[in-house]
Amino acid sequence: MSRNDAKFPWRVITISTMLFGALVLIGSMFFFFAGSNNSGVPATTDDTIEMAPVSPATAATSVPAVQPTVGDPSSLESVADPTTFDLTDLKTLEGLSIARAEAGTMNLRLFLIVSGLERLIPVLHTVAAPPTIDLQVRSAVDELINWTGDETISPVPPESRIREIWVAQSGVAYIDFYQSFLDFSGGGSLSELHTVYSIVATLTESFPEIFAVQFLVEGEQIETLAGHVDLSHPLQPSADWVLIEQERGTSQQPQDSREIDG
Amino acid sequence: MWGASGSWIRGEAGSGPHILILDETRMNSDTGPYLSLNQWRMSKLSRATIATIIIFATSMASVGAKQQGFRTVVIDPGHGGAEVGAVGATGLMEKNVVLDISKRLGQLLEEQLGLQVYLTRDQDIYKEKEDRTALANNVKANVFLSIHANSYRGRGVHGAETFFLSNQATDDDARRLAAIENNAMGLEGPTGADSNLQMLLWDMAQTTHLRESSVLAEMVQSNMNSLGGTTDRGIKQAPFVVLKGANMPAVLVEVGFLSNPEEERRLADAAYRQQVANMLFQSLNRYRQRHASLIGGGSIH
Repeated sequence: MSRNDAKFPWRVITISTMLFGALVLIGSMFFFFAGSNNSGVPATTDDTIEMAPVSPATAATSVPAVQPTVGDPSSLESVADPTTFDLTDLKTLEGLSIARAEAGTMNLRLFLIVSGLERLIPVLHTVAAPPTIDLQVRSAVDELINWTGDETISPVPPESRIREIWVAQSGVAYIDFYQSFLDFSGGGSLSELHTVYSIVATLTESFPEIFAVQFLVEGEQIETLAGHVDLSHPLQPSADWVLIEQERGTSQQPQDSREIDG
Repeated sequence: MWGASGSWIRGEAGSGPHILILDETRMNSDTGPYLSLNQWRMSKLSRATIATIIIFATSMASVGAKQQGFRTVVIDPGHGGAEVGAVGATGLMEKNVVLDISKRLGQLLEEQLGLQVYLTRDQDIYKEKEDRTALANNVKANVFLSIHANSYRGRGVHGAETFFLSNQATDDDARRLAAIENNAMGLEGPTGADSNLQMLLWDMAQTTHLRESSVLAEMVQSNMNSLGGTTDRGIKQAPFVVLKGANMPAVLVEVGFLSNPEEERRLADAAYRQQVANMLFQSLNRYRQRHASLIGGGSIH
């Protein structure tokens, strides 16, 4: 709409300007009331909204972190509850991976395609546990890449090759693939959604210390795998695409129309 | 700024910096249902500015919406150029199928409803995904419709489905994620009060758009279902890049699977592609009529 248009809403603009004036007034009164705050908690001095603490320095002062001991089974329980688990706690992160390494094996939940079902289904799978979290995660992704099953199919292309994997203290797992991961991922959104969410859910459901996955290819961030799903940020599991534990056995009836040839 | 029943926000010693009292009858109770603002500890200036701008933006948006009829549609044929999208067994390419359907749909909207129609691409070229929604935002489109064709490893999967953006961006985990991202090593992200403010405003607008997008998705999917022999794969949510930047209701329709031989055969047929365009036309028309009834018979061409 141009300014020459006879319908140009001058009245709206006038009303809005007056409204804005009133709101500035309200805002300043809010400012005044905020100024009379005498509560014990000091206001932050910088001009930012304080989000969840992410660096160990801030975590030490503002969050009562759970400090489980290595190998203590109760530490696993506390981690399962995200409200008490502080992702920035290095000891927790190490404790879990060390416990797995000491046990010698680890239980993975691989999210795989089951013929006839729309969402990916978790399959319990026990493998040998490498000594560090990075290697443990690598082993889990390798299981998805190399999976061969009679009734289940992995949506991760077998041509995929891992370049590097590391888990940040923030709880984000970084998975850096070689180019073949992109080249063999097909062009459809369903293939793409399954590939991406199979890896994300397998890692977040197998490793309580991981809550999101950042995909990389040849060390670089990628926008998408095949043109749809946003991979520029760490991804969390989605109940739309994977069957999360508490929902298992409900509302998932095989339908002829959704069968998968394999 | 008032609480739900008209109480002022006030500071109270020992109970955190600020509380928003939701129920006036419990003002004096120690255990009242407070909505704590503890988690948003910010400077006084930010609080005042954000409060003012939010209210202003919301009122402007509601006043502005009533002044606009439903007149502009942006259609986005998926992929293009080197990004071919899905490819069928006979070599039929998604980028060509969806461009043809988009052109047919655009023509229907222009000729039958006199709407202003923009295609994000009208030839076989690649356009960045953010440019596609940027176009829609620039022309202040009432609706953004992205048209795609699907594929899967198993050839048996077939049918149509409609997507709108997943609302993960508004939940608590996502906030924590955003905070982590902003501090992640080597990964740039918006920082500071400005980006937080922008995120807040964007969140608010997106909540409204998401609701409308789900309505539009229902309409698109129900019309796709009335195409003879097409399986209903339903309405879904996903974090699709091409829907993320849209400042309006936005949906992505997958019209069928090129990996399924039967659906590839149908999509190769111009008459069938015209039927698909007709169905999408009907759903947009239904959405336009709903839009008109909601704003009390606003101006429509």
